[in-house]
Order: sequence, then structure tokens, then C-alpha cells
Amino acid sequence: MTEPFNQANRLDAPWGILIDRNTPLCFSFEGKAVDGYQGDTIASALIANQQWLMSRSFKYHRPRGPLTMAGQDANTLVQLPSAPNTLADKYLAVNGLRVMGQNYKGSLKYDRLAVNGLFSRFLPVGFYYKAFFRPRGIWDYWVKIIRKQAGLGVIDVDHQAVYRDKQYLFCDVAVVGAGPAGLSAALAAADSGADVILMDENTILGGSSNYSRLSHQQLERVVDIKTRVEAHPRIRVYLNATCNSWHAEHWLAVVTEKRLYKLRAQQLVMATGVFEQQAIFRGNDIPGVIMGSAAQRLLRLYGVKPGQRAVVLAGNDEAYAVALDLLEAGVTVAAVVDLREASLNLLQSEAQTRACQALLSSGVEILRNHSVFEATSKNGHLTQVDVRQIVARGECAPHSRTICCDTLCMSVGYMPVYQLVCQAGGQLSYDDDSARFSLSNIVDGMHLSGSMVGLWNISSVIENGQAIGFAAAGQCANNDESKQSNAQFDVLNLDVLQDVEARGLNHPWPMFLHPKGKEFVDYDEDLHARDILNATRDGYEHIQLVKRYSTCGMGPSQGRHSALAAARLVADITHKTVAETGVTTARPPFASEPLGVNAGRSFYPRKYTSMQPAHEAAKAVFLQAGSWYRPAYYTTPKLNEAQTVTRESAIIDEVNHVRSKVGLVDVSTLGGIDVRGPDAGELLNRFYTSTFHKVAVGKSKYALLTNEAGVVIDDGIACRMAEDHFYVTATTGGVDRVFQTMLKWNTLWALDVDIANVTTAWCGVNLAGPLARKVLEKLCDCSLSNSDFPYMGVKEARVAGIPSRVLRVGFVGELGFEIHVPQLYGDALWSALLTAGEPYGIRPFGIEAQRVLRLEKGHVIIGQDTDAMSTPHELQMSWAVAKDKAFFLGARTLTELAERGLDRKLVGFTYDNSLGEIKESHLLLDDSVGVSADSRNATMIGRVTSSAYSPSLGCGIGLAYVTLGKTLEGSTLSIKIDGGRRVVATVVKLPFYDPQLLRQEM
Amino acid sequence: MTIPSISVKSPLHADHLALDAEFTARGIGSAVAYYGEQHAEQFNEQLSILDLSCINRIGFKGVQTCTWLEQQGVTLPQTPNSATVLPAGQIMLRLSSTEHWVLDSVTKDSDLCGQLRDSHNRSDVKSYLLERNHSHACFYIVSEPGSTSAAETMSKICAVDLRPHRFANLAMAQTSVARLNAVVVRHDHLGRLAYLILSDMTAAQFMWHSVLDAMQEFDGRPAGLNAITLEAK
Amino acid sequence: MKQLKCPLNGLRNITEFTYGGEFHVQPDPVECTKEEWVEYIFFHDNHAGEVVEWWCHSASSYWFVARRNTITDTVIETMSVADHMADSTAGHAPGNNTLKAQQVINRD
Repeated sequence: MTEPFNQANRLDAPWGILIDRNTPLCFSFEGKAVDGYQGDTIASALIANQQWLMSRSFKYHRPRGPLTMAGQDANTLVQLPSAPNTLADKYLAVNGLRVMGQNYKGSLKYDRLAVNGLFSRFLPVGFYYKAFFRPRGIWDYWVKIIRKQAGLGVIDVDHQAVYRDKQYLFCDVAVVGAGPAGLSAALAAADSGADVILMDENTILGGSSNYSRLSHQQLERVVDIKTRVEAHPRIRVYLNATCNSWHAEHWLAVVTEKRLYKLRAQQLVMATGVFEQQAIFRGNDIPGVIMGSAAQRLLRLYGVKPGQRAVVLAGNDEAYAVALDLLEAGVTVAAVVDLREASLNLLQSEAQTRACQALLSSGVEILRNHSVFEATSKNGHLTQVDVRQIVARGECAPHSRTICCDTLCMSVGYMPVYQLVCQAGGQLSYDDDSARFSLSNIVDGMHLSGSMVGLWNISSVIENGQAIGFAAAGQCANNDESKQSNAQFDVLNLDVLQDVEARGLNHPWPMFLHPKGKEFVDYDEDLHARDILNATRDGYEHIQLVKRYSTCGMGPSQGRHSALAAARLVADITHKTVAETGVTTARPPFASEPLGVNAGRSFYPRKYTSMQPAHEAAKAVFLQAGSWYRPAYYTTPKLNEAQTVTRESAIIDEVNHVRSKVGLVDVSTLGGIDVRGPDAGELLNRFYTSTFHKVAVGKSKYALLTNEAGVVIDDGIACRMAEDHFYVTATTGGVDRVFQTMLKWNTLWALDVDIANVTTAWCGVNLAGPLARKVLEKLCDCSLSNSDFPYMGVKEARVAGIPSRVLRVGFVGELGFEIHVPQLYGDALWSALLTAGEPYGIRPFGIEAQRVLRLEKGHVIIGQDTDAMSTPHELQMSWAVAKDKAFFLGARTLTELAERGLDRKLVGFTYDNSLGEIKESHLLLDDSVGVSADSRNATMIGRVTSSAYSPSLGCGIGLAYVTLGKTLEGSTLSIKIDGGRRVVATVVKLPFYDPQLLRQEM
Repeated sequence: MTIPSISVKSPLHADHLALDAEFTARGIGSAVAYYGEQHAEQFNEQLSILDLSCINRIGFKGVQTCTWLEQQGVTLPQTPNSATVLPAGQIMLRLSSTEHWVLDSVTKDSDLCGQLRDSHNRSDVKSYLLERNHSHACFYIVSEPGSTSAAETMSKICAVDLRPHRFANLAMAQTSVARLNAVVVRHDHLGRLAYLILSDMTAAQFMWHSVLDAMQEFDGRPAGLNAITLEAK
Repeated sequence: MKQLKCPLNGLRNITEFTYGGEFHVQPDPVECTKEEWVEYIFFHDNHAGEVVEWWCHSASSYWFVARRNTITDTVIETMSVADHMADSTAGHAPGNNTLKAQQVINRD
């Protein structure tokens, strides 16, 4: 169009309740300025300026314009700078917005790819499946070419994400849909004492009453309800809010622009209304061919005339209301083409009878028993329709008559907005005789109301809404007000009303196939009637298979306008009823939603020990362990300013320092469980593998935990703080489960004991190295000599004035003290120790160095060196399993397993790390045929669980599971490393370092 | 354990300093008296959050807890998941029939926690002490009078219905807040809707910033203890 | 999202709970036959119908018992472990018949 955009189609007030004529705005479409008003959608402003063409279709690049004006079709997908695939009939126009069409090459008006349309028989249904599956791999070639043609919008990779978050909502009764039924239901429920949430995807309350043709009294009645809803203290209204999914126990996902609501309702009223359905004829996708309701939306919501000269295709009486509306708005109505024989007989009300007479008296021609057989266009817009007499179901007479028009309004039928109901297990049925839909198998607590159950007359819709709202409120728990009987709502006889009102709303067969095709069933996927028929001919007769084969209903509008037509076609060709054919399953989401809605504000807790400020000051590099952030290694102190600290160099430095002087590591994340009470020892006896009742106060013992299947699941140290008090440590990652499991067993055992998870109540450090005692002596108020405080001793003492639990442990294999203090004293403890240790050259070390130190001592890490099958015997830890105990969790299984013998063992190995690096998870291969590069036929005989360079030994060390026969000291292991090479390692006795245990016990 | 004379810092100390906080000695350490940038020693216009982590708290757990606490002259909540306020302003929380927590008063000088600790140290009873000052951080979210913004804030981080007409004053919920286990107590303050959150001390920063983020739409900000103490006078 | 009614904390979203497996009756771990023990450890009925399960409310670490229909996935009732034990026929609580014995043995 070359003429300027001048809003030539704009009507005066009172048309256009959504727009504010005092606030004009301007945006651009395809580079051209478009004038509109505040409240316009992109599409309404474009149509006001006679621009109907908004996009090109997915497959054939056919010109497309708005169909529903309700954001329910994919014909209006446009490109915004920040978002592709935006619905132009939903998205509000904004000053300065740059809008482009999408899915074309060249220009929207002259799309070079539209040539596809001429060759469309080369793209039959199932084309992609048939054409590109052979030879293998060819799809990768074709996909690039096809994507270019079928690509939708363009993603802005520089787009700054907007802040989106989530909120939980709660109510007694949630009402989805704020049309007359939903409004009435919400009001009745709230009046009955219920706490109500009313939501609607539109920007205003009122639903269809905002655009359909109602009498003055009818409108007054709706406005009155609306006013009362808005003022009601127990009703919360959410507009622009789409209920996108139903989940168990009425948990709804409600999507708004910036926030995802998770709504829990006790009762649910679905008043989601209906979707108008298109008629099927050649050219039914041409811009200018629209739903009757779309024309009404344009007129009443936006004050925009759809065109100058219209034809109305009538399958029901609502079409006459559309024709009258068009006339009133100054549109010439060239004809009403009625698919039915004698529509007047079906008219219910006097008002509608008058409507028909009014049309006739205005000179509008009414053609009964006629249909539009074909619509034709020029320059991408409707110019005329070919109207013919109907001779049989779906068949027209050869004689044709041409009527010129730029608008064709289709009012031939409706389908309930069934998606949410069916997500909740509801079933959609169709009666072939009356062409009526019904929903059954409704989940408990869900109620349906309004046009979706076949009510059409506004007063029966309102009364039904009231009855449903009242019933829903009455079924809420703790709602006393509603229990007062209120008989006025029980007078409706739904069945009778539905029979009367729904009859004639749906034309049973508004489908007229053309020899040359192009009768579109699915606009999104460019499927015409023949595609559906061919799918069934290819053998896909079930509607679910038709969908997957033809892609019918798989586009953005998810079958809103294709489900019924497809079902009718499949039913017809398979000689079934539409009821038997059914529709495909409805799954969430109801409408497309930006990923950002789900990706918005979420919570990933981070935990830090109270020594975190000190770690940061010492420039630690952190690693994440579950929710914890722990120092992996420290980049200070440096030997000199010029030194570059790498991970490797830091680990070696820290290890050497602990072995030669003294180091300090934060062990706060270690789990801690206080077991207190007379039966504390008994509980540990039943829980862990060793015996605890003989452990003296002031002593500790290694505690190994297996489950009932004898599998090692955790370990720690059990410290006897008092006769009735054990302080048990657990692994960082395992403590929560160990604690829960302990509680679970004790609910059965009922021992006189209290179990408390004190992990975060305490923090701790391990002070380790030959000089550790000298450092601690400066701060501790008790004797630390080896005789007063031997290896595995525990004491309650004060360290730097802080009440502490001090444990003499040897995890890293040096003289060491674990000092545990209440969490908030951690910072003070850490700095006191660093100060006291300064003369001895103390330095902090991270968990990487700790891992190497413990590996040098051959200590296993549960979860790293164990798997879901590891028993204590496999770990060579039989010493930790009591033999004189009748019962502990894993006792019976371990006894049984002992009879069976072992399949594998965890052993230590050393290797020359200059030959290659052995890593965790590398495999051990059977080397009986000699080391060869070809390992495909070799048998796997084990795997590496831990591996590191040992600064203390000066070679590589590790732990590995090895099948029996290769576990003896001196055996050689052939380990396949990265790149497929093999490195030979030697089995050695554990521990690697200080086998006499002299250092930790000095 | 007896309490040492060392003053501790909240894990949020650095965050408070960044807001120009002035501190006051409280409980086992120091609490924010007021934030310098606000100049005023009062609640914010809409919504406030206070870090009460250093105010004294203690827990007792075990079969004889109820009996023992009652012997100490403390009035206990009668049902689990509820709280009572003692005459001197301390809050008693009943987590289960065998577990109670004591939160010392913010407004008044009280050392009930210390007294109970001393008394417990001398007794031999099947009720065991829990160091709640160290295991749990404590935050207080306070709305303006007449506003429910504290409840709205909570609804962005907690899936339990905490709205005032469904969650009475001194009701309590053990639940998940911002995906952390937490104890939530409604404890209105002089006509203001308010909630206490007690959650893992080691994730205090995470919780603080999660609440601040949720509060943003109500212009919620941190406030110091003086807001409470001055208003109480 | 499904909900579960905790006897201590009331109705909560299922995400607040940890599933603890079926509430099995532990045979006497000392006296039972090998077959009985293997059956108990490794074989599960996967019963279609009513089952009794362990559930734990994570925030309060409270263990309780739920009777659930696995066909309809509906929870019939929840109760404290003590109430469930009192309801069950005497001696049917897991390990109850042997726990006293274990206690005696271990305390020697």
C-alpha cells in the first residue's frame, strides 16, 4: 500500500472502549510510521490504517492477517526488536516501537519465498518424513535450508533479560475467565464468604460482553456485576493474567508479563468461554477473512472498521448480530450468506427476529442455503467471494455468483475453551446430531460455567455463574457463611437451557472442499483439507497419529482452530463419528510463554562458614560443594611478589607446609550430630558398625555407617563428651541424610535419647602439622601433652577464651587438633590461631591440599571412593566392623556377604606421573595380552576413584577398585588414561605416607 | 557452655557497614542501631527488615523440656507451631511437644536465655540445650501499620499461606523459605504486621538478600533496632 | 502440585517432604533365615493398591506414616508412627519383636 497510514478505518466514540483518543501514539511497521491510540494493539492500529497483511505463513509464505483479534491464532506473529513471534493482536502498541513482519525474504509484500505456494504439491503432508530420511545423515544437510525457509522470527542475542519473579497465591475459589459467567461466579462465591481470585487474560473485565451485541438492559446488568466485583473486599482481580496450566490439587500456573503466580485454590470455576471456529473453503486464510467475533472486537474494543464492504457467512444466529454491528458502524453489508435452510425458525428471541428484519429492511441480501465456495484476493487482500447454493452436505452447486467485498466474517460455530479442563483429566465429547460439545470427567472441585457448557443467553449465563459460584464456595472447607441455605441459586435447569440455547450455535458441517484445495484447516502449519485426508490415506487414521504425521495442531495456536475441522475430516473419511474420533490431548501450557517466565527469580541457597571474611582476605579460590562455598586453595601468602600462584603450585606448597610446619583448614562444613541421653551409646551401637558403649568419656572412635544392605553410606568420628552425650561428625554432603535416617530408626527403636543436627551451630578448624601443639598451647586452657591428650582424645576446653570441643584427630596424617566452636566465634578462633601460629610459620590450606594429604594417608572419602555397592570389607575396613555385636543396621547382610567372598577390593597404587596423568574414573584393563593401543577387546577389571600427585612421595598415587587377583602388593595395573594410552601403576600397601602412624600420634 | 566475653558479629556485618550502620551492643554481639544513610531511627515508610541475629536465642529439646521450662517459671505455648510472648517481651516458640526455643526481648533488657542456660548447666534433666544463637540467623520483617506488604513479601519466598486472616498472630510454621528450611513466626509489632524468620546462620546472607529482593517492589529496606526500641517508648 | 498432611505441621506442598520408602516389617535380623532377610532387603512388592509409607517433613525432621493408594495416587490418611504402631497388630511393627533382644545383647 502506498497511500499514507491515516487511520481511515477508525470509528468515532463510543466505538472502541479500549482506546484513549486523547493519547495518540506512533510506531513503525516495516519502516513505515503508523498512528494509533493508547490501548491499541499493534494489529488494531494497523487495521485502522488499512494494513491487513502482517505476516507470511510458515510453509507456503502466504500473506496472512488477523483472524481472531484475540491473540489466539498465529496469523499475526510479528518481529519486535527484542522478541520474535509476538502476537500483534495481543501486544499493545507502544510509542516508538519498531515492528517488522517475519518469515519472508525480500519484503513482506513481495515475499520471494511465496513461490512455494505454486509448487505446493511438492510439499505434501509428511513431506519431510518421506524426503529426508535417506541416506543416513542427509537431514543435517537439508535442515539448514529448510530452517531458512521455515524460520520464524529472529532472536536478539544482545537482549537484556527483564526481571521476572514468582509469587504464591492462595484462595478458596479461583475463577478463570472474567466474562459474564466468571464475574457472576466470583461475586456469588465471595458473597457466600469465600476468598476469591478472578483472573482473565484480557486487559479488562467483562469478556465477550465487551464486544458482542447486547441489549441495553443486558449490558447494564453485566456492568452492575462488574462494579460489584471490583468493589468486593473478598475478590482479588488479576488481569493480563493467563492461567496456563492446571496441576494436581488445583495448583495453577498463572502467567503475567513480569510474574509467574503459583496459585493454590480449594475450588476452581472454569468460565473460559468458547473459541469461534472458521469455515473451511478455498481461500479461507486470505487477509480480510475473519471470525465474526473478530469483527466485533475490532469495532467495539478498538473502534476500527474491518473494511468497507462485508459479506457475513452465517452458520448460526450470532452472524446476524455481526451483520447488524457492521451496518451500524457504517460498513456496507453486501450479503448474509446463510448455510442453513431457514434460519428464522431457529431464532429464539424477539430481538433477534427484529434484527433479521432490520437487515432486510436495510437492503441486506440474505442468501439461505448458500455458502462461500471460494475467496479470492488481489495484492494480498480479499476482493471477492464466490457464493454458491448448497446441494448436499459439504457440496455446492456448479453455478456460482461473485460478490465483491473486502471483508468476510465467519460465524459458523464455537468450541469450548476446553484445554485447562482437559489438562485436569476432563473429556471433551461431541454430539454429531446437535453439533454440540460437552465436557465430562471433571476433576473434583472444578466447576464449569457459561458458554463453555453451552449457555448463550446472557441471563442464563449470569444465573448459571451465580449458581456455580455459590456451589463452589459451599464446598470450601471452613466456609460457614455459605452453609446458610440460599435456594435462589438452585432454580436453573441446566440441561433444558443448554438444549434450547446451544441448538443452532454450531453448524454441523461448514466445510466445502474445492478441487484445487487451499481450504485451510490449520493456518499455523499451512495444512489444507487434503493434507488431513492424505494423512489418513497414508494409514494414520487415529487422530493422535494424524496430528503427529501432519503436524496439525502443533503450531503456536495448538489446535484452537484446527482440532474440530481435523476431527470432522478424519471422522468423515474413516466413517466414524466426530465423537468417536475425538481431539488430541491438551497439555500445558495453554498459551505460549516466554522461557523467562519460568527462568525468573529462583533460589539457590549459598552457605558460608563464619570464617568466610578471613578466607576472602587471604584470597582463597572457592569451590562449591552442595550449597557450601569452601576455599579450594589460597593464592596468598606468596613467597615473593613475582611468584605466580597456580592451583597446582598452591596445592603442593600447602601440602608441604602441613607436613613440615603447621597449617590451618576450615572444616566447618563437616556434619555434627549431638546424641544425648541415657541410650546414646546404644543408639550408636545399633547405627554404626563398631561398638561404642565401651568408649570412655574423653575419647573418640571412628564411626562407619552402612545401610541395611551393608553398603557404606557415611563415616565420621563419635566423641564421647559425657556418659550420656556423643558428638558425632558426619560427611559434609551426608549429614542431613544421616540425621534423618537416625531419627527414622529411633522412631521405631524409641531409645531414651535426643538427636540434634548441630552442623551449623558449630564451626571448626583442623590445626595440623608437627608444630600444631606449639601453636595451640599458646591459646588453650588445658594440657595438650601426648599423655594428657593422646591421639583420638576429645576435650571440652577454652581456646582463645572460646568454649570449644577439641578433638585429636589424624585425617591428614600429622599431629592435629580439630577445634570446634559455636558458629559465630569462628572468625575470632581463626584469627587467634593465625596470630598464635605466626612465629611457627602457620598458613591456611584449602580442601584441595586436604584431599591430597588424606590420600597420602589412604583415607577414603565416602561418595568418591565408595559407590552404591561398596562394603567395608571391599574398602579394607573390616577393622571398623565389630565382630561381637549381634545387631547393627548392616550386620546381617555383611555376615551373609562374608560367606560369599569379595569380588573386588579398593587398593592403593603408585605410578610415575611423568608417563602420563591418571585421573579419577580411568579404567583398569586386563593386561594379559600385553599393553597395546587397541583396548577395544580388553576386559575392564577396575576403576580409579582417587588420584593425585603426592608431594610427600614425589610420585603419583591413587586408589582404585581392582578385581581379586590383582590386589596383592606389587601387582601391576594397566590403566587407560586420556587419549587411550596406558600407564602402568603398582599396587602398594596403604597408607602411602607414614605407615607406622608415628607422625599423627607424636 | 558458658558464654565468653567475646563479642561476635552477624554474618551480615559487612553488608551493614556498607549501609553506613551504627552498631549497639546486644545479646552476644552487636546489632545495628540505625543505618546512617537514612538519618532516621525509625521504620521505613513501607516495609523494613531487621537483622536480629545477635539477639539472644536458645533452644531446649528432650522429653522433659516442657516440665523443666515450666519449673523455671516460663509460660509455654500450648500447641506445637505456636508462640507466646512473656510479660517481659521474650518469645517462646513451641516446635514440637519436646522442643522449645526462647527468643530474648529486643526492646527490654532481658537475659532469660542466660538465666535458663545457667540453670540448665546446674541441672540434670532430659532436656538438652541447642545453640540457636549460632545455628540460626533471625530476621524481622515489619510492615507499616495497616499494610500487608510483609505478607506479600513472604508470599514471594514461601509457599505457605501466611496472610494475616489465615495465619494468626503468634502462629508459627516450620517450612521452606527461599528454598531454605526456616521457622516463620508471625509476631506483630504495635499494630504492624510482622514476621520473624529463623533460618540457617551459614546462609544468612542468602536469606537477607532474598528478602530484600522480594521487598523491593514495596520499597522495603533495612532498619536498625532503634526503630523498635524508640517506638516502644 | 500435590500436598501432604503432616500430623505435626498440617497440609503442605509435597516438596516439603522426603519419601522414606515403604513401611516394611523387619524380620528378626539375628534369627530369621537368609531367604527372609534377602526378601526384606532386596525385594519390594510394588503393590498396586493401598501401601503404608514413611514420609519425613524436611523442615522439622518429623517422620510419620502415610497410607496411600498407589493406583489413584491418593493419600488415605497420615498419622504419627506411634499411632500407626498402636493401630497395627501387636508385633507387626518393624523389628519390634527383636529390638528388646538386641538391646540386651548389645548392652552386654
